[in-house]
Amino acid sequence: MNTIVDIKGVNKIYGTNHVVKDLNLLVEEGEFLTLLGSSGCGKTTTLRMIAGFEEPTTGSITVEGEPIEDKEPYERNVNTVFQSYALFPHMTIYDNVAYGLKMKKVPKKEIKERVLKMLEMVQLSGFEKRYPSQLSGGQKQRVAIARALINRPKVLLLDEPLGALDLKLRKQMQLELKRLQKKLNITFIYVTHDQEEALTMSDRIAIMHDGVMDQIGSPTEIYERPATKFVATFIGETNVFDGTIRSIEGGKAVIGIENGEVTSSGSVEEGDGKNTGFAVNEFVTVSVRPEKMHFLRNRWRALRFRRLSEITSM
Amino acid sequence: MTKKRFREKTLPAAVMVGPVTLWLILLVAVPLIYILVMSFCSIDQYYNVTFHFTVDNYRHLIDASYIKIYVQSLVIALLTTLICIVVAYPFTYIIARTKSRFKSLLYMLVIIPFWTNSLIRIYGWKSFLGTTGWLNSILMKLHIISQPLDLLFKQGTTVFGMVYCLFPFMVLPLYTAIGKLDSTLLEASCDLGAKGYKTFLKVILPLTASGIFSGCIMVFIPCLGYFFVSNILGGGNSDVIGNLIERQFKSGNNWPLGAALSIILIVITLVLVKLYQKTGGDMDSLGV
Repeated sequence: MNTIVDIKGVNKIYGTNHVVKDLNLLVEEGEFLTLLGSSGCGKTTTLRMIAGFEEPTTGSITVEGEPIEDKEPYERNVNTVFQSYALFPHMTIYDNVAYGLKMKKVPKKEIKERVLKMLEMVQLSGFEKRYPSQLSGGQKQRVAIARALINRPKVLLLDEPLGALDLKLRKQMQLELKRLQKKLNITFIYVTHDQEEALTMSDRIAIMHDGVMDQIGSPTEIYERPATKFVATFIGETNVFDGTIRSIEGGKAVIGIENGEVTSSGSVEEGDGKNTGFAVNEFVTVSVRPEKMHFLRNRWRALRFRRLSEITSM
Repeated sequence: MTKKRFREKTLPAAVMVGPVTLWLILLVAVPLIYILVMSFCSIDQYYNVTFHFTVDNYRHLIDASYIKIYVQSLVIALLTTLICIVVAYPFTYIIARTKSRFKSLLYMLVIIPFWTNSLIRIYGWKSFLGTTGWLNSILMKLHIISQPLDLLFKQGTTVFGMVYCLFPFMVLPLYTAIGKLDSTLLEASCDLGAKGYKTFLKVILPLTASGIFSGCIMVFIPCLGYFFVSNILGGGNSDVIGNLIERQFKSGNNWPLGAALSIILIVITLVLVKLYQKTGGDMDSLGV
């Protein structure tokens, strides 16, 4: 896999507001990467820095190995799908989709071919002469996607593109977006606060929290092995116990919690508790997914966890 | 039942709408009808208006000397409108889109001077620009010029005065139109490969066109009627239709002819407004 976007040590500060903190992120070519987090976590700012609408305060961003700091948005080989669609209200659907190609002075005949093909791909054939105000939300979103994709960007940036749609349409568009991404083999960087959306579509998810990227990994990794307490509680349902490690033997840790103790079934690495692994007497948080619990009739241990998801350092 | 209906529906409606209706009838409809009737009247040898139906007044309107002034009015109004657009557009764009906390202050700075009567301000310009006025005395004292500049009583001075008086009427509708512009559209345009000037031509200009057009109407039409500007600054060398009307009602003492001229001005206005509406203009943004 080749790296297509490389974000190195990026900070974004507005006045006294530190929005993105020391972000390092490698995006691989052809992957569907989601930046997931609640509002105000810096995910949209990160996206806008890649697009060129914001400049990093410090740090660098390269696309295909080329630094893009000095490039205007129109010089970058990335395109954006905006949350509010941002369709030009005074232009027909045809002109909206053709806009990027017209700016690049592509021959008229080729523009026509590509626009019609693109509209077919997003299932909007026959809508060329309509205006954005005559379309439904879902249709507008498709136009916005077509308008961005027609430029054959290396990276497509999507800023909560399905946020304004109703649930049913959103589900349908999720599948459609994923299909388009696979078909065209374009790198998607997708921003959302909807964890279900992220888990459904992404190859990898980067979880952001207060301007910091807490964890990046596949949906399974994120779910099964959350790196921080925030990630554990943000994704899915979980049970959280605070406790102290009593012993670590053969990779199994015994953790004392409020009224009893739990034993991990997975391997727990022993270390000094600061830089490496976990140490005895360390305060930890135990996160157990509900579906990983089952109850046994046992006189001595009323409750046992079949498998611990993760033990997280406090 | 009808009594109840009267008490609950008709009476409150009449109380609320009545005064406005009366106002409009007395102060708008009646004078307009009066002017219309007057324009078909004639005058006797003592310049008294007599109710003797005639279309002579309208026939007089196509006299060569009048036509010269119509053309001159149109030239002055067009120049004024053009200058207003060119100056007001970038100016308003900056004010309307700035994120500075002085935004409303900047906006107020445009409006505040217009709380003073425009007649007084135009007299101010006259004394400022005159041969013994401030501008010339300062320039002479600084030895930049040796002879006072002859600035007054030229068509250019009239246009300047018109621009000065009517500038906010261009700024206001533009401010609304530019303020409404969704900035993500500009970002989208840039994202899709358009450089600044392309975005301006393809997105900003078409989306603010209604503001430009309503500004044009609000500058162009008063320009035809602002006789005091051409009187004071133009000194009779750059009359507009308004001067003709004023003269007929005052020194000319030919009210029917003045009325006919007024009717023509009203017709021009209505045609322009209709045109504006036809091209998709929003009547509300005219603010009338």
